[in-house]
Amino acid sequence: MIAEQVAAEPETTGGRRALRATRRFLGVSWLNVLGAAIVVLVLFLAVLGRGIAPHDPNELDLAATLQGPAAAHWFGTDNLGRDLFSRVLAGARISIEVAVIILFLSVAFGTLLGIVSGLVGGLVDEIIMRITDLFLAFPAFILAAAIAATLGPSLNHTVLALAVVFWPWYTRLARGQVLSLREREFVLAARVAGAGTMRIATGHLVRNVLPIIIVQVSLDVGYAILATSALSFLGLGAQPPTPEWGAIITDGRSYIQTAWWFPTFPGLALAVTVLGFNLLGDGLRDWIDPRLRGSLGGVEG
Amino acid sequence: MNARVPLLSIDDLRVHFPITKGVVLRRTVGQVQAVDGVSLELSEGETVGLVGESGSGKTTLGRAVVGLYRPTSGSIAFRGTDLGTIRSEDAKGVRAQLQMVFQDPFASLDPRWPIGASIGEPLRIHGVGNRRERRTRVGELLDVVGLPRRMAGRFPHELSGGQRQRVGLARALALRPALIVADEAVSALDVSVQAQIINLLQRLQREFGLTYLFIAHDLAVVHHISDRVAVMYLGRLVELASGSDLYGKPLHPYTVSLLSANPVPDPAVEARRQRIVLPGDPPNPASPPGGCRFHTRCWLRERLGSPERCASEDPPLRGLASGHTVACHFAEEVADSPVQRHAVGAGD
Repeated sequence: MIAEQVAAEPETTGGRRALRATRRFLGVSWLNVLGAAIVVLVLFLAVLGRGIAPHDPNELDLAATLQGPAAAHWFGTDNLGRDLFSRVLAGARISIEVAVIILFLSVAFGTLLGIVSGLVGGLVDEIIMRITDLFLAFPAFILAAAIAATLGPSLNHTVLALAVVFWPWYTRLARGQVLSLREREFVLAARVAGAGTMRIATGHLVRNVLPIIIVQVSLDVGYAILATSALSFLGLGAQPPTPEWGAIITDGRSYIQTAWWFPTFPGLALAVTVLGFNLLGDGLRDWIDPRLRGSLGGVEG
Repeated sequence: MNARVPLLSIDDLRVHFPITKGVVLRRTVGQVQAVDGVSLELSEGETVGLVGESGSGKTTLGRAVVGLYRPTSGSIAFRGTDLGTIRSEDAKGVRAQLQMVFQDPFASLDPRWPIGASIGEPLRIHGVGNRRERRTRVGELLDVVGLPRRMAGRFPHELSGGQRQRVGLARALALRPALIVADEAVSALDVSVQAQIINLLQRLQREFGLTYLFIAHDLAVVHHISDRVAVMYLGRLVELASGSDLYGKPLHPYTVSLLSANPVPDPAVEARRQRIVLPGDPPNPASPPGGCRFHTRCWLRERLGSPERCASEDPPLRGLASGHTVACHFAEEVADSPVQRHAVGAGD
């Protein structure tokens, strides 16, 4: 039976393959395990945080302000008596949501533009590349801050500003990949067989560009979370009472001498989360780079 | 249709690539004359070998035949139909008759597609059959190239080089083509695997009446498989003859030097052969030398006292013996000369 199975259409690589690849990836270094563990934990808390949280993150208790960490309030309470543990948990959800939206916008827009740029070439390519140069010429964070400030302080504007800053990287990345893939023999073979540009783009290019994009995304998630918190810290992003980590740190800043837990716990949550995503991203990049060939596809050596 | 119309006829084909400078005000500063005035006819069922060093234009010629490059001028006709002027709705069907096998078995298959999908791709593009019928056809194609059917679900990196080249061949056969351009199809393989693929190519040719344009730089391989052999130098065809004529009695000084560089299995013969080493590199194809393109490196011209004619007059392809054409003013000097005999290893 199995011997007769003939796959005539492209199909996904299947769960077993993915599982094997995951096991091999984790086996490379304990840093990969740590990164993956942190990311899984943060994602878990972001999704289920509301169920775990002992209190409503915005519930005021003016009788219990600035309480130190204790059984009732693991991370203590803030100046308005809100439970910091619940607020940090809620912040995880916000950070993940924000990062997902930023990266979805910039990857979708940037990658598409990059593929078009590489595939069409000529003047179109030239124009798109000069536009990305324009964006890349600015220091990314300053540009994001300027855009967020111009649009007015709000979490949504911060998301937009960061997406605007992020997309040119993906355009560059995708274009470079397409340029090298375009002349590869399997693309030429598709053309000899009569495939049009659209079919080649969707059938061959997207699939081969994606793994590199995914690595870049995993590296950028940490940066997106950090940048969002930084903008919120500066007062350009999330506004009170939103339990965004950067915003909580801003609130807690002035209490650092009397209530150290107030800015410390959201700060730790932020640091650990960013560290986790960076470790995972670094691990993925190192893992994919030297053998783009092999288990994740690519050209076999 | 006239029975004597050749399967493929290439007429005065030129493929030039512009060299551009500048970004906004793009201007052409030169032309790489990759293929410059090549005429060649292929009859049904024959194998024509195409040899020449890197940069001679043989790959460009092959790619132009399958439509990857648009001719700058000249024409390519398939069974008498000019591919340049054909209506676009007919073009797809005619083009399907001309397929290609690529050099690098590592790069010619999409690493993310199971090989069954790669083989079935031409079928999907041309809307052949439904999903089930395509599956069956892919299975048949795997049989034809000698791979087990269960391999359809494997990915390219799980296959050996020879297996991948079989997959490439199966894909080329999917649309039941009349002509296959094999561009260095065995060059990247080990010698033992080369032999298997060549035997497979010959079996398929008998089975399906295929015509091959077999591009290679390995003279021995070309000799083995080809009915006729064409030699290219710097975008031009310099000699065209049957395999035995070309290898036994080369008439163009360039061919003679090529053959002299090709080892002969018999050590006694090998010992008395003389290698002709050409001075320098091939000239820049963006500004080929005037007159005969080979005159700057030609050993024969030197021996004849550098006649002016070589530098001023472009030698046309002319028939010397029956079925043996050569583009050299002084080809007669080569015929039956000691140099020719030494180069091919024949006795004095």
